[in-house]
Amino acid sequence: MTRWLGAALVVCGGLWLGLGRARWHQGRVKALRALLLALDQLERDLRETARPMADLLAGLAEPEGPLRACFTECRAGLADLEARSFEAVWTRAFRRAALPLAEEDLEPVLALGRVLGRYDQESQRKAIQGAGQALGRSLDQALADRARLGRLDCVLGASAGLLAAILLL
Amino acid sequence: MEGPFLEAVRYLPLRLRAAALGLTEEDQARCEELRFRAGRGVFWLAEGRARPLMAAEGPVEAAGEDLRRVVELCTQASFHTALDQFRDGFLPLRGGHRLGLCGTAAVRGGAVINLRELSSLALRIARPVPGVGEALLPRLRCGGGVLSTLILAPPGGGKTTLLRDLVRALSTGGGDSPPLRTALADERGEVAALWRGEPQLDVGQADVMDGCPKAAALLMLLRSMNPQVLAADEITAPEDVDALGMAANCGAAVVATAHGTGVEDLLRRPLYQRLWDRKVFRRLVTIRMEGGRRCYAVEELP
Repeated sequence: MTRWLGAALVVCGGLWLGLGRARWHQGRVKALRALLLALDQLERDLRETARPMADLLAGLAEPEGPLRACFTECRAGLADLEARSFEAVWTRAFRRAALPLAEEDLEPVLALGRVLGRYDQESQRKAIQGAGQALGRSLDQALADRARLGRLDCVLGASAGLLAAILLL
Repeated sequence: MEGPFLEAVRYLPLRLRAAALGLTEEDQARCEELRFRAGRGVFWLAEGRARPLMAAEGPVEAAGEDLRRVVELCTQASFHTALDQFRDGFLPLRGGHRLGLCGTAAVRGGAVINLRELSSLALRIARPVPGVGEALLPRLRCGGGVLSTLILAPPGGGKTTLLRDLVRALSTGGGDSPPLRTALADERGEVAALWRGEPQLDVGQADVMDGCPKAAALLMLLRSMNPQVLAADEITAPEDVDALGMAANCGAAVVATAHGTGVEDLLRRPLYQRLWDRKVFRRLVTIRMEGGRRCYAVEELP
């Protein structure tokens, strides 16, 4: 009885791992969409209002979602610019947010930290638009991955669990 | 309360701030400016002399990234909002201090849209000298008012500091002298250093027009604030001269500053020859450095 219970647990564990991977794909799509919306808002605010960075970040931190904590931390980091550059503040905030993103997704966002607040409106907006285009490509890839790999991950996870259970039995 | 030096070095990143704080208290008290040059040394200026800023390991140097960090700190990572002020070559800071910038300008349509590749920064420390003008006032007053006065000195000679204190003293009054309605055209924000509408440097009860071209500001102040005294820093354009002349014709006393070492130096320039010919001013205050100290000479003009 115990062996069958253990085998069931192993199968469930495999399934859970597979589901986790599928959830990651789902989370990646959600995070990329949230980032694209945020960059769109940032570019628009810069174009229409040219407010100081603190105000821009406050606006980005308003909506509920996976990025709120990140932009809140960026805004708080402005009080510490004597110790670290805004680029460092920005990078740290995004790393600590541990968003479900591949490194290549995060790269264009982190690169923005080298530009934001340091150049004129036009240059910053172009950089944001460039990052948005890169994220758009990442989102297309993420949607394709989710459709193609999401179910596969569940099946693989369950299969691996089943195989492990059989071997152990 | 923090002194001006400690207030100003808060705009430096920690490494450069620590180096600046390495100056003795006496040197901090007399330091007028800190200069940073990319890839070269950092200097502090006092009494017209530049000296290298030293740390334990030797002369302090500033990299290009250090200059960018200073600007980032001064603008709170908001260069895009400060760009209008940068186009004048400087950024006013809270407390009346200012950051001058040099670098590679990006120009579009004849206007500076950005300053890339910073090469030098000058952090100028505002040091008001309350009372410096009061000693001169008895020689500038006439009855209950003041005679139109021109303050003359070379760059960095203390004209703005004196003008500020005269504006303070005239607008506040004191002793037997009643306060005068005093209006200040502060085009470059150096005299009153308005920050969110509040003067960071003491200009008494003066009404301040900040950031407006001088000639327009003088006329607007004349029409709107009914001043008894109109003050302006650095007459540099023909329209400034015309506006001052108009103010004087309307009965307001004018107090203004100009670059120069003396009357002969002033009259070599056609703009000031025009000013002189109009006989706007009745008093001339010349500031000279003698033995490391500023000396003020008051001259009656015909």
